[in-house]
Amino acid sequence: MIEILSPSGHASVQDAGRFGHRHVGIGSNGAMDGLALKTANLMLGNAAEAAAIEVPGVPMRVRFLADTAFALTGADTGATLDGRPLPRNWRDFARAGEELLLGHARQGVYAILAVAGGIAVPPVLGSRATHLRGVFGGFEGRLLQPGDRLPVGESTAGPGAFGVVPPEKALPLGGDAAEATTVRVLPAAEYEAFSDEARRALWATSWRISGQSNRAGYRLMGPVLTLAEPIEMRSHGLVPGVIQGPAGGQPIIQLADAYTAGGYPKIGVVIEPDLWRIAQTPLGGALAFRRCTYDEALAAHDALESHLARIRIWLATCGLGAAA
Amino acid sequence: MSAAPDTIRIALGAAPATDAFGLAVRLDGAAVLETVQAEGPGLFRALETPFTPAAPVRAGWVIGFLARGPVRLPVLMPCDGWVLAAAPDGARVGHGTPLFRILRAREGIIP
Repeated sequence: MIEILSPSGHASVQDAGRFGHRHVGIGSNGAMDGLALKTANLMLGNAAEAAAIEVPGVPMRVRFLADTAFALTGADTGATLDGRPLPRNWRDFARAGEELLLGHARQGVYAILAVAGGIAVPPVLGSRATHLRGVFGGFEGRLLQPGDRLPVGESTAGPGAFGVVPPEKALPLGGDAAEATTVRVLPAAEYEAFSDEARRALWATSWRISGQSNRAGYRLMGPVLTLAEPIEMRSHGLVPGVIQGPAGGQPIIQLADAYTAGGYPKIGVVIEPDLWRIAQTPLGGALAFRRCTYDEALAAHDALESHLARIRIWLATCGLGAAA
Repeated sequence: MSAAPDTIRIALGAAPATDAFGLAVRLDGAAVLETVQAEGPGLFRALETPFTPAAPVRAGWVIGFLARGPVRLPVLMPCDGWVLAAAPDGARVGHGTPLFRILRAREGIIP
């Protein structure tokens, strides 16, 4: 059991997402930084989709009510366990009664606090992810509050302490400007319907992330993306990563809590293996879109899976399997 | 010249050529520097924000890493004290390679 002592404003229980219900209007939800969730679960010997606490950027204090192996990945929050500083991307062991403090994110946005055995809230439609709009899943379908006591699943994980290399070092995407996070983008169905100017601007602009951004999507600030000529579209399915060009002209990237359908023309889609990079770019930060091909997107997916496989192999080599 | 009873005298000086860090500290005339060595092979990795010599560090805190592939094994502070010098980030090390020069705190020095 973990008790929330002081909550981050928007901390919630998230897992790898709820799939298979998009056709009835239920999106995937799940961790904004899926790589951080998978990495944390790997370090703990959990199933890849085990649920964890997602902490967006602001401080949170929790108390472990039993001896618990845990892992902290994603944003660098300068976390301490009863005053002991914990490195980034780290797994450690808390004794019953110890308090974990996550500070303001010094780098990145979304931190993942995973525990051995996972956060054992009841699954809803096959997932423990919080569906905030639908008020189901996660912990009572809502954001976490002080006094919440979260159940932890069974685990035999021991007290091992170790970390793994931060993802931006393991999966560098050359060309990252100092002030813009580069992500790879496939042209989407209506790409050709946008004006030449809009298409050029998509690739050339350092897009500023607006303050009107959240788990549902990021609104971007930059040049207006105009269509070559007006088109009428029926509502169609959306997935996280889709970049829409609404009538106002300022693009929106749909993210983990995206609606399942929309009617704005789609100029591009951020490839899934790069969504974690968006999740770790703060509001006010900038994104740069690099055009990629379908084959390059598949290769990026393979590279991310290889990174996780390499961690798994080295953990075993170092004798740090599930029971570490 | 004798120091007042509640005064600690710290002398920093050049170490013998054999000292990996070229750093010597004598406290009240006695050498108190210790070396933290690698417990096995790997690449030494510094913390993203390393401790400065002014920051008191408690026993058991992680002060650096021994990297094996993507895995980072902790190098722990063996006692309360201060971290004065570290091996270069990315250095290939083996069992017994000096990683840190630390100043051991005498009882009561760290509040």
